[in-house]
Amino acid sequence: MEIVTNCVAIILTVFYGVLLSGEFRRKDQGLPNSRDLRWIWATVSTHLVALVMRGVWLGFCPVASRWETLSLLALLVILMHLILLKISGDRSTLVFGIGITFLLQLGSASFTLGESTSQNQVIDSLSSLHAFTAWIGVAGVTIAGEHGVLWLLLRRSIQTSNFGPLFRRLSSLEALSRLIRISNIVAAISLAITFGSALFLGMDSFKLTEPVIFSALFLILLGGFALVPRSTGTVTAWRAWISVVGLCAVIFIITWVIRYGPHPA
Amino acid sequence: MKISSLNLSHVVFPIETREKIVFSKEQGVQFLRELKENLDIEEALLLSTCNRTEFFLVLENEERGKCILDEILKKWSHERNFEIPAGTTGLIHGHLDSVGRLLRVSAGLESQLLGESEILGQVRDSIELSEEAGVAGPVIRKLWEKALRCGKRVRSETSIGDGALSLAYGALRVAKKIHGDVAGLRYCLVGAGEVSELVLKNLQGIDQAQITILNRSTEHAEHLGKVYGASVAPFENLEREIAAADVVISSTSSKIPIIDRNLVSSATSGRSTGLLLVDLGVPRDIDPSAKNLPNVFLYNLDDLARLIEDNLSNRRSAIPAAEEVVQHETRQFENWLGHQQLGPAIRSLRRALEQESEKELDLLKDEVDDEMHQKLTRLLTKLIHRVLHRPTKELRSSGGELSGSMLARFEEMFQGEDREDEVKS
Repeated sequence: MEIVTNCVAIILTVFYGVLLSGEFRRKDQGLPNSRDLRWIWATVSTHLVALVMRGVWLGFCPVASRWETLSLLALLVILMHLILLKISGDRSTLVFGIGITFLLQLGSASFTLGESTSQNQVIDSLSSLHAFTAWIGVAGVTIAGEHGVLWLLLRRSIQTSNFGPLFRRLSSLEALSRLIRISNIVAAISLAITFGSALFLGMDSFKLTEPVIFSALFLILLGGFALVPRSTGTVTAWRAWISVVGLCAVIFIITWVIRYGPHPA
Repeated sequence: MKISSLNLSHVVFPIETREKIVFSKEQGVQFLRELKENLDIEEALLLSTCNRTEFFLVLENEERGKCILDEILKKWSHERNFEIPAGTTGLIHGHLDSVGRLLRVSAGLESQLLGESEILGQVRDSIELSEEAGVAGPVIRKLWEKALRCGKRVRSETSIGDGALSLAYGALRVAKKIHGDVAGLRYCLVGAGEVSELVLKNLQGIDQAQITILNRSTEHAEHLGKVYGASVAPFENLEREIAAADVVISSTSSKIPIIDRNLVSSATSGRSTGLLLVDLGVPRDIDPSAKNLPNVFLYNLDDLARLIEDNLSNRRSAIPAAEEVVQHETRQFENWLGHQQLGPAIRSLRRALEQESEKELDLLKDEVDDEMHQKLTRLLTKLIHRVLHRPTKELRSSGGELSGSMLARFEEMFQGEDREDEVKS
């Protein structure tokens, strides 16, 4: 089983690497054609099947180890990007989404090689379900943060007349501001799912600990800004900065998971 | 078949002359019809745009084609009242140059703005004239198809069409980066000089562009407004017009900035979208400190020149790759033409052998019965096919290498026998 897991993790990493390279070399940044998306969907489906099989084999959601968590997060990030692409029709940021997915999957593959994949910590299925919804929230905040960073960088690039790769690759401030709003809504919904699951599943994590208060506050801010219609460019800037704060929190969480594991004793 | 061409482009002729040479669609069709009726021309292509008038002619004899083109040039010069520059040899091209020429034109390698894409659409439309005039034969159609294919390949496989080139294109590129689409935006032009006119020309192709011109003297602004379909506002309304605009392009001869930071600040308060300010004035028309205001993007000549220079160097670096595509497509066309030229020669050879065998069979008709005669007919037909199979294959494979005169001689040899036989009988 360990060999199979290692092989699948490495193959998925290679697939995402190939997709990243293909997307990076793409000249046409307009709407995607079905042929291109077919390959992305094929990889995502393979990834999904692999994680579902892992879950079936374990008997709970595959969130018990570092490699499972990173791989799940990679899948959720690319899935949310594809949803965003479907809604907006703007493919200019997909390369960054695939890039994040590739990095997360690379991290996952490196943990499968370093850790024993057959001797996992066993968690109960309710806790694993809640952890799964928590990672949905993290993925939502990740894509919102990614678009926030891109919007801020593009604005800076235009203001300073820096006609570098970002200026050439990204579509426009207007399109990105739409993407930020949509991704903020996606992030707010996914965080709400996380809180909802904690509430309905009666988890201990719903006690008002500091991280929960921070997350709830962040959800209120994110949701609030997501719901405000775009009245001035300043609103988009605020949305972008809130998203960036969320992304910083995500980076902290991922670093924590890498250092101590998803369920530290 | 040989192609000859007459090429009158921006390289040799200034705009004043090109204006006289340019053909409308109706004039083009009329010209091609006259050519067909008077000179018995079967295949021709006329490409006439604001930057070039190129005429391609397909004839058996290249020299005759060049003579006809020389006559046409003199006729145009006389009728349209323009001077032909000394040494017109550079305007009329022979076969190989002509094929490469149309492919290069289509690829944007001969364009004033290297790699511009409008020319591809103009080449696409040019065949309509030939079709209407009845001079769209197989060779010219194949050349036109090759030109389109070459143009598309060059743009998709190289970076020759990437990036903006003129200052106005540069400004529009930045506007696109801010607003997503330049169609439907509100443009405010401050000043009504030559630069503003150039900008107006560039804005003409944009859908639903709302253009307002502001100038201290309204007379010239009104003239420009009439010519380019823009509205004119009094200069006193500057703040209001800036507030209403998405893109402000200023090019006045003022010695001091006419748009200061306070004016921009009050004009942009409560804006929902970004404002692009393009300062094309020397000295500058817009206070540089306006750049620090929120939602304001200020560009001057140097910024735009940098954007254009980046793009131009990118395009220049793509020229060798584009030339390779042109050469490849030219070779393919030549191979195709070579095959087409072999057709009559091979047909003559086959016909000559078939006629000889028929004659011999006729002589045997009285000596053998019908069944035997039919058998012999089938035998000889098979024999001709078998004997000719290999030489035909060889000829086709070396078609591109054989000279036209040799092929003509080959064809004449067998046609000659036919004629001799006809005379004898």
